[in-house]
Amino acid sequence: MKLTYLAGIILVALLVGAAGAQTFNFEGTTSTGQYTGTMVLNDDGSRGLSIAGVSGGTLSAPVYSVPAEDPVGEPMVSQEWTIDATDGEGFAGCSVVGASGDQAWTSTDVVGKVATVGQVAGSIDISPWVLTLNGVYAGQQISTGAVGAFAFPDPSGFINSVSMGTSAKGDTATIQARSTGSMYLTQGAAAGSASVDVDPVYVGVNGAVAGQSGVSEGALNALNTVNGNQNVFVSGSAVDAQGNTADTSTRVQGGVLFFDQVVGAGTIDVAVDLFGIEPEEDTSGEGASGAFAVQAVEGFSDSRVVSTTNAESAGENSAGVKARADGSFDYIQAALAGAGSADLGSADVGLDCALAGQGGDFGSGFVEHGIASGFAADSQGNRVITTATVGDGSLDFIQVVGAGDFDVNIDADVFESSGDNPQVTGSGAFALQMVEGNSYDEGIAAFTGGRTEDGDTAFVLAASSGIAEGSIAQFSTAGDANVDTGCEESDDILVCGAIAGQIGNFESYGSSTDAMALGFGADSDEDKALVFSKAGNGTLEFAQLVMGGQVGAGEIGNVNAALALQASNITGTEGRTLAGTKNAAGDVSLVTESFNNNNKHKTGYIASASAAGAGSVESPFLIPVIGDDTISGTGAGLYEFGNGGTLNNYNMTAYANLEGTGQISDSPPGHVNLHDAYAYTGLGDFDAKIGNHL
Amino acid sequence: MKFKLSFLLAVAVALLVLCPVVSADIPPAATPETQGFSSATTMQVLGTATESDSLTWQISNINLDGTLSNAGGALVSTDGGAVLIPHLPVFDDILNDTPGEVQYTVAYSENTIADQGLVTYAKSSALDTANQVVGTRNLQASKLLEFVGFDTGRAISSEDMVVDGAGSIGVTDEVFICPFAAESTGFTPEFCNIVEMGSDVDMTIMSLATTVSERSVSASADVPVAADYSIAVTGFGDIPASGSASAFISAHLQEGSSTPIGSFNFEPFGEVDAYLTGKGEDVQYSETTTVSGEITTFSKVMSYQSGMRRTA
Repeated sequence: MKLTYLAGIILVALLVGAAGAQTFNFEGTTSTGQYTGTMVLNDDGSRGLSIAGVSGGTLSAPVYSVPAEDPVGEPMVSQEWTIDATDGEGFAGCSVVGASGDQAWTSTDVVGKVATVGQVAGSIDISPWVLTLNGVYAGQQISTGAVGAFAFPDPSGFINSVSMGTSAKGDTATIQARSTGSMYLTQGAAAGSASVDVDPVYVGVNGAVAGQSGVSEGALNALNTVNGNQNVFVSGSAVDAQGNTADTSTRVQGGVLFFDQVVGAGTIDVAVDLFGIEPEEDTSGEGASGAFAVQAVEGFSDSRVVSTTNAESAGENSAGVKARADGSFDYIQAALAGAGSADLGSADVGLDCALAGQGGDFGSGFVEHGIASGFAADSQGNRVITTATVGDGSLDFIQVVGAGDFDVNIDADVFESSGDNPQVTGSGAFALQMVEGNSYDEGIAAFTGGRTEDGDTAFVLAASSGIAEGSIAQFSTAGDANVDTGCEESDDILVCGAIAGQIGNFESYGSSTDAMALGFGADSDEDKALVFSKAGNGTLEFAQLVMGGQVGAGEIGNVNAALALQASNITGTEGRTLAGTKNAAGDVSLVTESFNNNNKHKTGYIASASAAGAGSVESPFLIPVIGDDTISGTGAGLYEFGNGGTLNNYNMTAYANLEGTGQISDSPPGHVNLHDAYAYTGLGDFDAKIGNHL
Repeated sequence: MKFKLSFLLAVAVALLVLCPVVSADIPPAATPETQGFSSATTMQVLGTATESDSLTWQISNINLDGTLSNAGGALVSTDGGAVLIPHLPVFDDILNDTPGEVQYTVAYSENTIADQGLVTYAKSSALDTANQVVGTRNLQASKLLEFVGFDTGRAISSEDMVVDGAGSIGVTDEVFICPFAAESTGFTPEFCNIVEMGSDVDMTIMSLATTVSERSVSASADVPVAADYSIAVTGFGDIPASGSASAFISAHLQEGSSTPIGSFNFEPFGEVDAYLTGKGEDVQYSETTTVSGEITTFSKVMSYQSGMRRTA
């Protein structure tokens, strides 16, 4: 798994330590159990403790050693035990406090099970390989049985392993794994300063980090559960001293889970030499504060797997992704929150935001139901959501959501421009996804939309039913953005609203299978625009763009409206396209085309566009099908191309304006079975239809 | 001169009571069944009178077996020197809430012989083995002896009280009611304290008054261990007392130390508090006051109090 590398970095940190100055040993047996421990106090003020105990069971040296020894140096404290808590409960933990106040600890609680535990903890100041660390660490390896024994997980008891790191300045990272069944786990946490230098990326973190890698299997007949009715639950969370948070978790009911998770919090610097331009500043972890969480999981669930990864910045921007499936799964989720900065060599990026993303697949074997979704909201109330579902099939997906403030300054040299550096600043929320799937029964669906604090709304939806395969890319943003191109000849671009778009295709293989794509936009003044395409028992290719709100782009165009555009290609026994608008004054425009040719596949190419606004749509580029640079009211238009994409020289438009007049134009020849276009004003002064329904 | 003596005595007693020593006696709680007895004696004799009293009282909150066991909730390192107080779910099952063991021995004796003279003797004694609070005592005795000897008449009276306590490591939360006690330390360190007080008189004429009391049993460690002794010798009117008198206090106080190291975090399961401990204090004190000849006034008051929450 991809995160194994990151987990490996942490484990390297867990394997190095320092010698102690004073050592105290603890041992005892009571009528109910036994305990053992070692405390080390160093001259520099650092200290460590290992402690283990069991009630209703035994502690013994493991037959097969769990590798917890350090090949480079000595940890401050370490221990290795086989805890037989079949009839009781056992605990083992190592905790360390550094001279500067950083803390790290690792621990495992076992109930009704036998587990072999190897743990280490200590302080560290080394630079092995590409890694530089100065701080404290604690780590453990857990085994409830030999690898490969997961076919028969123990249905009784549970095991709970936790590692945490806290920096002296208040950053915290926690990682946890709980299971009612079998588990093999490597887990650790560290606090202090760390940096990784792998050209062209240099990352510095001063705070706390925790990670784990393992595999666990939980049986559906488990006598105990963790976190509700789940059998396996792995999670991580990080909080920096400023209050930025990130968390990630996966829970499985009745199945096998392979997992890698890394979380961290603190001051973070990132430098990337993208274009051979050296970063101007060193990254020593002294930058802005933030928190991140990453997980990579794969496996199979008899009943359900649920993964979530979320981030929330101290400025109350939030973003999260969620995946849920029953069947096989393999995906990565990540989230970042905070006021971060990055020197990318060619660009400086400043963020006060929350970001989340996920990518992977459901049902490489098979999945009965799979849902992947993302949600983001900024502190101003701008919100976006994206989601994709599949039933009885498989789904590959990539989703990214974010919210907050951003400030990107790009070096003009990258564009070989003599002007000022281009700059993009703004505040809002965005979501995008790319999905590709196959369905053997219940279809595929994808939705992405955004809504601003003022009510500007835009969303796109694509869905199929029955046996089908599809590929869809969607995006949506909500909020404000200011683009300074840096060119004297070019105006700044101002965006204040919601935008959504999608492009994709469906191919249906069964009977009674429909595919559709829909886009809707509305501004805060209740101007609305809609585009829609549908194919029955055939194929549907589509591209749609909708928006609501204000866009000021100078000569390119200025819009204070709702706008929807689409281009679609439909084959099959049934098809329909629609473009319609309605503005706040009640002006309506609509153009549609449909065909129903039972058992005969018709091939056509249909392009349609729709726009609506309160008298401020000024863009020949945005509404070419209307044939007018400016409208004051609503307008809708349609171009249709015939078989094989041959232009039939057909267009049809309708629009109404606020002055109480309307206009239509119909330019035959064209051969469509059914079509109509109409427009009327909110005052009722004009109402006309054209086409076969006249 | 007599004023100077009294002043010095007062200073010495004040030093014993007020010096910032770490007296941390933990009194044992009473046994489930307690006893109380008292006696009152009055004699007015022309001739010879004797009084002989003896008390030895031992008590333990665990077992009077000559050994001390640590509190069930504390982990003590095998070689000593460190103590862990775990707040972990598993250890709640492994360990128990047995308190740290303390044992106390209280001894009291009086021997008085008055021969060939006019003797007036009055004494009241009381022992209560039940739990005490601040202001009450387990053992109390007051004595008044007036003697006018004939040509060869003499009165000899000696009194001695010992409070001897030793305790092992305990868990502060379990022995204190005061919710703030554990803020200073999570455990109560070992201690071994012995204090002895008494007097001797050998007089041909005198008016002698003594009081003795001690407290070493209470329901919680909020009540400090205490011992008090006082003696006063005078004559009759303008006639001074004649003979010799002495009073003494000796103490050997040994206290364990408690140095918090801090907590080892094991969230979400709990934490472990760690301490260093050892012998942190050793006080040896001895004071004897002797007067002889014609004694107008001889007075000595001695107090001893030991605990983590003292009133004096």
